[in-house]
Amino acid sequence: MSENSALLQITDLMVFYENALAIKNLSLKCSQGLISGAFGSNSAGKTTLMLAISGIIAYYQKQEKMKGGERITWHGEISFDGDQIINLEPSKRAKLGIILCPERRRIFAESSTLENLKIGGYQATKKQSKKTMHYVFNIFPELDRLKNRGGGFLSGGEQQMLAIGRALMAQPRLLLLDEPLLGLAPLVEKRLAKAVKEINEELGLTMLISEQYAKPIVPVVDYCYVLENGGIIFEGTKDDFKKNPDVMDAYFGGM
Amino acid sequence: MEKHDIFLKVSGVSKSFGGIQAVSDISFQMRKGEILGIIGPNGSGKTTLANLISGFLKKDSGEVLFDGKNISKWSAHKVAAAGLARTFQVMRPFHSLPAYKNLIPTLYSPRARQSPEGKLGDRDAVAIDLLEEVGFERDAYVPYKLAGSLPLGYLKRLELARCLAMYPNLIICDEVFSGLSMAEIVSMIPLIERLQMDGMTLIMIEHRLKELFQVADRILVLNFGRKIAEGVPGEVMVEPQVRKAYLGEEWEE
Amino acid sequence: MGETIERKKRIDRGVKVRSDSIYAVSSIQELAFLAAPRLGLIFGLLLLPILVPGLYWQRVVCLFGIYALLAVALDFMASYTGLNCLGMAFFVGTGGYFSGMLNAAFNVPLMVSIPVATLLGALFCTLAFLPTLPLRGVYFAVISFMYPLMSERIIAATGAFGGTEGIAGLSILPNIWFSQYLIVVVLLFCIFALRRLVNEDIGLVFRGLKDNDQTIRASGMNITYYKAIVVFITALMGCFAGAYLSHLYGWVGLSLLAMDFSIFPLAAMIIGGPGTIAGPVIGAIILVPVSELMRVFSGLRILFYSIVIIFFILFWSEGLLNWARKKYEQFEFLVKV
Repeated sequence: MSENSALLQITDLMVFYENALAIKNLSLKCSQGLISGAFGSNSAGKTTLMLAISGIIAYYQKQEKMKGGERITWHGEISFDGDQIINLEPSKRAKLGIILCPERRRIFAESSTLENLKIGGYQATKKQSKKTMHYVFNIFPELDRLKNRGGGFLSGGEQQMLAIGRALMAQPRLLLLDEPLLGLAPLVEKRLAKAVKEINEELGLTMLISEQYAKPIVPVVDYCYVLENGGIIFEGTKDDFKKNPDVMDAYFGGM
Repeated sequence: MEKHDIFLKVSGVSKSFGGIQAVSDISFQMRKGEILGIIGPNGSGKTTLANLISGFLKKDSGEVLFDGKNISKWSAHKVAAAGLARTFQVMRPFHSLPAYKNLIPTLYSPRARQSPEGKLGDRDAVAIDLLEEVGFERDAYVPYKLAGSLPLGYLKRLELARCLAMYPNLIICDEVFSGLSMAEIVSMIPLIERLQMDGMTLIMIEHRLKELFQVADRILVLNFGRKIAEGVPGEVMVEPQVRKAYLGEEWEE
Repeated sequence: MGETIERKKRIDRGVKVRSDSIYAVSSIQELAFLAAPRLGLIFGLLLLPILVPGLYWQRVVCLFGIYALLAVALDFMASYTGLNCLGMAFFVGTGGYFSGMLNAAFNVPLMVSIPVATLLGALFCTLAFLPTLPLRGVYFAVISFMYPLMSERIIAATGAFGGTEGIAGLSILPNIWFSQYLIVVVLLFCIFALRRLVNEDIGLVFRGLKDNDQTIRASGMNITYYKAIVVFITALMGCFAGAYLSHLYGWVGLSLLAMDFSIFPLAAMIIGGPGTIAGPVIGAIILVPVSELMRVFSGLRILFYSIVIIFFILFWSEGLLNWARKKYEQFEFLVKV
């Protein structure tokens, strides 16, 4: 395993929702060109982690502040390609190339597949847009066939493909996938896992994938973190992961 | 439980949305006390079918007979009042109220008030009992926790409790297992089994095949809005078109 | 690394935690903590007529009472049950015209015509709104906004009910003290009754209508029926306000359908704190004197209300009462992370 440099380095991250600690002293690293995985059950903090890295948590902080709700605060360090970004706005982080593919897809239901992809390419140049769209239709031929279908009429798997495609259109350097396999059938899970690996290999794109049920995605992940109650309880390569019986029990389950 | 009359009969139900046939000519029957599992890949029309049967969506064609009544053209609240309850995938509990308060509107409904249990009066107490039945630990004061602070597993149980609060005869469970951890699902299975033992008829729409097969008597498989197989779990899973549609070939790492 | 980072932590005050349990009844301190805001409201409102200087301001108290009542009714209808009504003026106009007609055409004494107009007016308004109830959010708001405008046009065009001149010479409330206390007592009653209602079992059904009507439907209840009850309750308050107003001045006219009665309660609700029932009263007590002082700029009042609404929505959307309640019940301090 070659020593890739860390594209994303999180050190001692803490996120508070009022007085509840959602993320506790979390340190994590995404190495350049590798796929990292963050696994954990429902309230382990996976989505909060994704929101913190992408900066979208600042949006929720503002929303809560305006309506006098919970006070959301965060502390610690997040460095991306050497720059400290913890206080950087989400839009600027997106410009740097940190792109989030949110939980439950959140594609634009009233827009067609093609429009969704075009929207994703908002900050890309025309040339980049064209090239990426071509690539997306290559990886996901289903989307080509569904070009003009309204987003709301796509099945879960197709929506996830579209969400990934839309994220790719934003020219990411770090792609964050928050529970991409949620609610999908086994066949579709395999398809997506395979596609994710292809994208990583062909584009050299660094990725961080969070999942609750690790089995379908572990084959493509290079380095794994296991989260529980906001902290990391285990980290290692996928072989280390498989060798640890407790972890296997909790996150692989039966099937 | 040896009732052999047909409790639910769905015939030729279809629905299209703007040119896309979401559900196409679905027919099946259920006896009282059965658990029918409905499975199928994403987009196969499972939730649409649940909405059509429960009256939340208007059918383009087809008929639904429930407990001897023709409920085909009934609106959602009328269907519910007749004893057909359903869970929702997207749950919207009262976040800032305790969990048990979420059952109060349902306990206030005419149907709940007319049932023998409902006549007993104190809805708060009935609500807490119902929550305990679905696994909210009373000693740990879980029923009193704010609904907004409950983890997903409890929210799913809350949805089931909400259905039970109506004293229904049939419950359509729309993906009650999805999003839950292994441990949470394992702890829900005895609850489902107990419901069946108490005589409840259940339709369970699920993704998690292994767990569903533990409890379901029969399985219905949908794909692209059509029924492609029906039978006991064992027979249905060996049918070639089901394997192809749902499972695909194993992908070697 | 190594510097102390601090964050502001906010927790309930000790007295709040203690007063949340049943044991609160055993301690004077906790009882006082709970009772103080409520007693403050009751005594504040009851003493108001006595404290204001002179007849002019006593009339302002009457107006304040009306607007506060409308704002409280709107808070119930909009914040708790999700029916965003921009047509409170329709209720006011209905109540006013019903009472005016009973009094002028049938010589019904005002002590009878006010309650009768309240009840009949509420029934009429409920029926009038019935077709709009399936509409949601914005559509309901727009249609409800149109109702008073349409009524105004119809009355002006047909000359019915006194047309543009209105109906004058109605019985006037006996004296200013009676007027003030009538509205204040009704206002207090409505505040406490509604606060109680929203926590009752049926109140939870009403609250379910807001974001969760699928659950209500799936429980076998007809949401149109429950929405109609909500409209009826709100209309009772709105029509009372209108009937009262017509006998405060002794006449009823198109001005009872003015947009003021639709927009002012909205502003009062947003400033005072939506979703609290009592909050709008605070909003009203600030806005009424301010708008009296602004009487010179008559037409610009709506502009003023609009600016206030926008400001509060953007920067203080929880409203004054919610903000004050947090300060009362919780405290903040810096803590090391």
